[in-house]
Amino acid sequence: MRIGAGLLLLAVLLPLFIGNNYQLGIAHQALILILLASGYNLLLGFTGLVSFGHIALFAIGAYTSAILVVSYGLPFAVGLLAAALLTGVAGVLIAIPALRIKGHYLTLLTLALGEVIRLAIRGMESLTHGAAGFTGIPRPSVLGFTFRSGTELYYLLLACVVLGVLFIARLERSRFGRAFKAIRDGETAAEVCGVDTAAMKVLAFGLSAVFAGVAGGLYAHTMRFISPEFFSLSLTITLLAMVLIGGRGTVLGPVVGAVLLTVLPEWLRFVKDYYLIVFGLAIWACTMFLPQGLMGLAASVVARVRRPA
Amino acid sequence: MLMRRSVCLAGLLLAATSLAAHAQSTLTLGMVIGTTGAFAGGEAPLVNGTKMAVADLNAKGGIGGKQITLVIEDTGSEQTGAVNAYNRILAQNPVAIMNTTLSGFVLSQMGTIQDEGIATFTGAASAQLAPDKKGVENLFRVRTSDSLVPTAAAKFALDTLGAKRIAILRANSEYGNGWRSAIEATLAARGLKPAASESFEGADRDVTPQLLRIKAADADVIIVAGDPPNHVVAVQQIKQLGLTAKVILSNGGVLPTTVKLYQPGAADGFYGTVDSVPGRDPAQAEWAARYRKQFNIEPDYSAAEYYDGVMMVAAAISKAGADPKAVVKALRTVAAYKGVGNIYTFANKGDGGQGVALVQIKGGVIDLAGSVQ
Repeated sequence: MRIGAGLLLLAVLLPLFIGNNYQLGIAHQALILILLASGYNLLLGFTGLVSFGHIALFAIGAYTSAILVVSYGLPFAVGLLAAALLTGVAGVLIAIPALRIKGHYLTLLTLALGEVIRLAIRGMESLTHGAAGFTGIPRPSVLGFTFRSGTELYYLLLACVVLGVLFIARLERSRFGRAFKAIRDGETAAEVCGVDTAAMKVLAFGLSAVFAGVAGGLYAHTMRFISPEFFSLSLTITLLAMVLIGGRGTVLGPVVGAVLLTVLPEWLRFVKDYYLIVFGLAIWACTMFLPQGLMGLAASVVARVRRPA
Repeated sequence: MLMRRSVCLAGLLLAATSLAAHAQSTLTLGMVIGTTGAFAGGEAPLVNGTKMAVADLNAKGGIGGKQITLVIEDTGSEQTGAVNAYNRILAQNPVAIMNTTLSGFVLSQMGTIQDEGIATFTGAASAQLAPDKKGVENLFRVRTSDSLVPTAAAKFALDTLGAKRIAILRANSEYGNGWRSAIEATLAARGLKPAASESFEGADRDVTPQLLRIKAADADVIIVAGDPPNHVVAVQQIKQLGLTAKVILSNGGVLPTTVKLYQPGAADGFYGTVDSVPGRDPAQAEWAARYRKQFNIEPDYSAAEYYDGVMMVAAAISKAGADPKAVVKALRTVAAYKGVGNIYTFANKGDGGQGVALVQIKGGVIDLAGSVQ
């Protein structure tokens, strides 16, 4: 709780210490990825379902909002809401076949579905502009106020992140959160205890997809350009790393992971062309020595400090 | 103690003053380019051309007595990386930016390019970047647009190579799709259709199925459009499968850095499109000789065009001063500027270069095969 409040205070004050649009741009990307990773954590961390198709849902959210706002002239809020709803429905549809399989087969199925969705986006040129990409997406605008400057946009994104993280924190303590974790720890045992595992899995997929949709919509209006190139498998791997390194199954793990994996490659630029090697070694060290992620490390440090001598 | 503090403070003040003086006596030229990742090899000549231009200008006393400092930021050959790199350069207050040559990356930066108003040069060829399409006032193309190059390739295939059945093998990207549309339009104007039209993903390392379908379609000319790594794969597999059709590669396929990657003899006889051949132009012999000596590689049009870009920025600053708006305004008056690599027009919504030439690879080097108007 205290860590969360501290992080929030830091995030609120951050624009006071940020000197230029480059740093603000990185902060925007980190906030969007926090939302995406937090939603992914509902699946991977809370429910134990490994999906490789999550970036496709992120893409659906981005394209839905862009198409509705640019091509049909609808307000940003409608575009974002539609992005959340449509990706939520897509998430539920993906969950239906996913109920019949698990483990590696589920991973392969979601991987294939993700690629199919990406290729479909590329193929529907009249709607999505295909490989050329979607340009001219406006900055978010709510009730006549346009979030034009980097700082204004930062606080809009921060507000969405705070709402999302608070929702997950509340969900974790609810019977749904406990049901998700019960499925992760032992599906048969959860069923024996009366958990409707099928319904809970569909709910986890759906909620996780809604987060991806909102993050996608915000991404489109932040970057003002989207193309299928961005929504590649490599981003899925980065997303997986964010959740695992931050600490899966924790509320703040994906927050820490997303910030770290967005900011670290930029911090490491002083090592010039070798930064990818250093970045790779840092990721490797995290996975080897922090199997529970950074939040797992934080929890064990706190437990050690509180333990009576 | 007080004495020591005073000396430290004076030292700091002196350092700060000299840093500020240095900043005032230099102009920063930004460069956003892939120095790592898949496109680093293809974009290396652009860095060479830019460095050469900066060195030439500084040797002559800089611009208006101010030396030019070149600052290069890496895109990592990724779209988000290109946006971040552009923002990093902006934080260093450049007078102009020499930008990446990847059309998709430039499109992703377009909002920022427009907002900031700094003169930005790109070698990206996509027709979408034209000022009357998705381009903006302060974006200048130092390249010939793809509205002209694929048409020239198709006309060369039909008129010079006598092609009857042209096949298209192109990347499934903004660049490749532009080539497909332009070639199809050229063929349609003559009542023809492509014998086959195949695509591949940018990261694909096998185009055998596509080539076998082209072989089955009995094509007599194959036009390949993609980025340098795609050409390396396509050339290798065309050779392995024993296809006898004549081959025309898009610009990235005949860059000296790409030609070096082909297996010996694999691309011999293949044609390619370029904006110009500075290494074979007698008028540019002195420039080409200096380039060869400095970088130990054959000069190519892309290096020459980025060289020209820096020279045009220098001329604009000399004429109008270093204020970003004034630089853009001055550049928008450029008409028929004859550079090393192309002839450029930015006035009246001009879209940069106009030149297109066809080259042939012979013994690992490129030679002029023809030019198309």
